[in-house]
Amino acid sequence: MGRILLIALRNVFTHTRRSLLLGGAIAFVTFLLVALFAFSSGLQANMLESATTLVSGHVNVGGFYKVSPAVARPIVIDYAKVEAVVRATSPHIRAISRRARGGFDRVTSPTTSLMNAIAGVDIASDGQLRERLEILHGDIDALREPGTALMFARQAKDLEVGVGDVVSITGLTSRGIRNRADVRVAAIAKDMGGLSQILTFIPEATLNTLYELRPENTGVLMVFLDDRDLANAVAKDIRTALRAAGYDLMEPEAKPFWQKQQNVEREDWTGQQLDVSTWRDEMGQLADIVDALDGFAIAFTFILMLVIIIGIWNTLFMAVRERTPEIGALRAIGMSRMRVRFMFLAEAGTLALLAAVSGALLAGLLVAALNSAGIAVDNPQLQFVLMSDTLFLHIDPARVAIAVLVIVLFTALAALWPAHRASKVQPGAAMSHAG
Amino acid sequence: MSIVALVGVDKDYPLGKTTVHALRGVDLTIERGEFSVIAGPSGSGKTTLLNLIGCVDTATRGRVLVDGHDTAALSERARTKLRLDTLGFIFQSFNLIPVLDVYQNVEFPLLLKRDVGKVERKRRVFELVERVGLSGQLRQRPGELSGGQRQRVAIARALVTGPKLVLADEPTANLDSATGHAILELMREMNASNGTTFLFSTHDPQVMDVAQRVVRIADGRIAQPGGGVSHATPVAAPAPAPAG
Repeated sequence: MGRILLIALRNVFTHTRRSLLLGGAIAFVTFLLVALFAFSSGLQANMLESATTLVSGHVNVGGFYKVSPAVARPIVIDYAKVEAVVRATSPHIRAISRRARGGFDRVTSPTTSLMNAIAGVDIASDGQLRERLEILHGDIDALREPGTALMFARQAKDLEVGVGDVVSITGLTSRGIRNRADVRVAAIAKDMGGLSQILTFIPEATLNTLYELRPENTGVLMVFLDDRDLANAVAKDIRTALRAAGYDLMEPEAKPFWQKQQNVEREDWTGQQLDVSTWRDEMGQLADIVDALDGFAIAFTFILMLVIIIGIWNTLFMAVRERTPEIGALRAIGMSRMRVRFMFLAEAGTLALLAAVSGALLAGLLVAALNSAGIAVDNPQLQFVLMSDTLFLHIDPARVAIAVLVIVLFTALAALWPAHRASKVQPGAAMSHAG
Repeated sequence: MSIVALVGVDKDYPLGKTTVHALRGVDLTIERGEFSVIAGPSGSGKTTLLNLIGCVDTATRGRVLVDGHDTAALSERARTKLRLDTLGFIFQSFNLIPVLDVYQNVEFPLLLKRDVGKVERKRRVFELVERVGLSGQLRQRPGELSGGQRQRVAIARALVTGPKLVLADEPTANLDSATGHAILELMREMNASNGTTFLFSTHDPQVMDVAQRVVRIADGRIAQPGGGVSHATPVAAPAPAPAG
């Protein structure tokens, strides 16, 4: 076995030109796959960072309260009791923050206006927001005072306001009354991708006044875990615990709460229904972009691998033809067909492994270089999709390992046919044909 | 018991719509310890005969017995094992593994056998490499050796498993006269000292001169039915020539 692998390895290095051509192609495919995965992983990381800072915990307990079948508000009634049930559910819960959810309403500056989602925050207890936001101007702790607001850089630019300026927020209550709150811009934070373009934070008390909500209610309880990969499992446990505590629950659905609200308003029920969601659910179609990107990467790689397969066939069939006397000799001296087959598979596998690892390493270097260069993305639409104002790529070692393994296996599978052909070489091929 | 016995062997090959009768009614016996040659012009059937004896091909009619085994009755796997355990091969074009060095090439058949330990493998390889005069070239690859040296490696490889019968397909055809002579002397010495049976195919008179017995073949038929002795030379044991 060891000697056969040695033969395979040395043959790869002996036929330099052939190996470079085919290995280069395999390395290129691996490079592309890893780079595309790095892009989608970076996007997912940005999405997670952005979502869990601005609108979501790893798991969320929100829901709707309907005073009439047609009017739904994103409210959790008497959140303290709900929080007590949730907190007792799992030892993996690190922190719970609460956010009040306003509407998608108009924010008006002295010169212009824009539509924004209004969120209420208790900055004194919301460590997540305080830790993650990068404040460019002003003081985030000023949000302790009612009548203040935290905006993001692009909003402030669009509204042509700075710290200390006053903007008006018009909010529609569940009774259909349009209220107005004048708030002072207390802090301007660095943009965090698409979500930060449409979100303004005001103190929870100010939001409650604007939308005529009670202080014992909130919009959502954002649950942060010590391991985000446990989100689905913990969400399931929380659902079970809340049902056991007598709460009505909505069926799980991978949509952001505002999309669910539109559906809920068409349903014929009143009162409170809680909704337990994960951060991916809240990202809705944006999370689908990541899946679509991964799907594209896999499909693209698959197509390229078909081209590689033809290269492998060409190379190995050529090798079988060139080495027919050698293979015949090996068969004559007692090498079994299975070992001949293995020898060619090992040759293809060795080449694929070396090439795929090289391609992955190159992609890793490119990702490191691009990340350290901190390439800025100025286009707002692109920022929205990328969830960041800089290009960020992330290499997930497990995905890279799987990519390399799949490409090696793919190559080895492609080598089966020529390897089988080699195993059919008759030992007599080693003999002279003159006699 | 003979090491090889062919009884009424025919070998036909289809060639387009016709059939080529490569061997016709061959009866041949090779005794253990012989140093024999199958001689004949190109296309006479030498290689076909060697292929049948080497379990590389099967007869169309008749029986081929190698070391008591009817080769037609053996499975592909059993024939492979018979080749590994009983036969050694030396080829006209040497057919060494180009990416392995001398030591590794000679050792290779022992690795295929699996039942020979590392220490024993090393002992046998060193002994044979020394006997073929290549101790100084152990780490050289075939591409770095002369034709004669390559054929010496092939001889060592053929003998390393201790085969009962070594088949050599025109072993001197690609060598110059002096080197060819030295190689023949080496094989004759191996034959004398180990009792290993050697069977060559050749149309080289030099090879026929050193053979103990020459089996002449023409148009697929043995010239002396029954494989009678046509030419004999005493089997001596001269020291291997250093040429190569």
